[in-house]
Amino acid sequence: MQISKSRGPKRPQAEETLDAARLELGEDFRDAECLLISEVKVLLEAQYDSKKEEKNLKEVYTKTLDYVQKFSRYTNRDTIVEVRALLKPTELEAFECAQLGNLCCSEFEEAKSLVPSIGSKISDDDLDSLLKQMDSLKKYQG
Amino acid sequence: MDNEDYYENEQYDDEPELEVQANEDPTEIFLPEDNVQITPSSERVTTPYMTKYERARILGARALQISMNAPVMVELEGESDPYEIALKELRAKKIPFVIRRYLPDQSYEDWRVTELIAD
Amino acid sequence: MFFHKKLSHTITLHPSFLGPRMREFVTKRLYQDVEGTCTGRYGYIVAVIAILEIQMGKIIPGHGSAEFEVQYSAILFKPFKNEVMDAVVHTVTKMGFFASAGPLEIFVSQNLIPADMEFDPNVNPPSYHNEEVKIENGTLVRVKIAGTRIDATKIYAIGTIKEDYLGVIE
Repeated sequence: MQISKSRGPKRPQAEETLDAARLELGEDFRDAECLLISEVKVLLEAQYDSKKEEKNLKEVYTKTLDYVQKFSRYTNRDTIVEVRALLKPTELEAFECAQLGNLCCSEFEEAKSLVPSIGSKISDDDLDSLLKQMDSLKKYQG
Repeated sequence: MDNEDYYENEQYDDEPELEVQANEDPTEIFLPEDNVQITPSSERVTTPYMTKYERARILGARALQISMNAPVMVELEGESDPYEIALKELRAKKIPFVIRRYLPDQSYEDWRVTELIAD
Repeated sequence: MFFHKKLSHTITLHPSFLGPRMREFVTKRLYQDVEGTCTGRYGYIVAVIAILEIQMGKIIPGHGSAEFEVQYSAILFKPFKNEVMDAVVHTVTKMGFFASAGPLEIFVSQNLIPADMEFDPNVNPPSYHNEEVKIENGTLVRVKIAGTRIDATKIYAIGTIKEDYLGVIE
């Protein structure tokens, strides 16, 4: 006699199948918004004062805040907006755009090696000019 | 047989204790936020009168909450019995509940307790 | 990778909180319950950004408490296999080094470090070095996540710097 126990809500995808190189982020994150480290910095800093007042500083929050302050590439909001505007018209996925914004590669070979899922979604020349534009935004930000 | 007993236990294993089965109760009582939209009055078909079962359920739930220190919505004039306080709130139409009346096709109508006629 | 996602959570409030400042209590409880936690499915919930909706509280029959389902959006941090990220080294041993990327700990084992990097135990603090660069406490490195393991409340990651364009960042 077969008795099958109903397992309730669907189990989340097993960890082994998730792979950033093939852009397999799982059901939950497939359409999620990916944030640049600088964007996270803006968001977390906005909350810092009120959290400090309420003495509600959790370890995860402070560690993340230190991390994003250290690795943030773009210092002001306008630059972030411009970077996003550069990345939007391309055919790249949200994850790939955020990775390019965070890693700030200098050449297209580096970008393709570090974010392998880019593959041939964008031509080498386009990628190269995109990286150069992002780099000059970073250099000349206010 | 031993096998059957084992399987029977397994079936009830996952059932959490506090699970509220929406289909068991004909009504559910909610505590509304100030501006929550409930079914507009033009679309409602059920009676505008509070049934005796709803009255019993509402008074019971409210008395239970009052006995657990919920903030009271009326001026107390020496009452200490939670049921009496609940009665007073009902008469003053100050009970902050919304009732969800389920219809046979599993759709529902939300009614504020303040709207229902309680005689 | 940092994500911005909408999630939902159920808060149960005791009757003594069901008064005029109910919404405030729900919000505060949500922040307390959810921020700083880590799950296998969503990774680390770093911060709640906004409360999108607090549905009508449902009274639990027989208990008097009310259950609120809250929709909110939050910043999540979840590492994925083969993702490249920057990190800060904080511990160096002969087995490898530990680096942290925000709330995440990454361990880079000695056999995933290029062969030309030598471990030097005599220096204080201990470090790995080759002719050009040195890895010690406080060094910034670019690592590629080789694998992750999810515990009940923590994520552990293994990283590598043995590929092109990885390793110490200037």
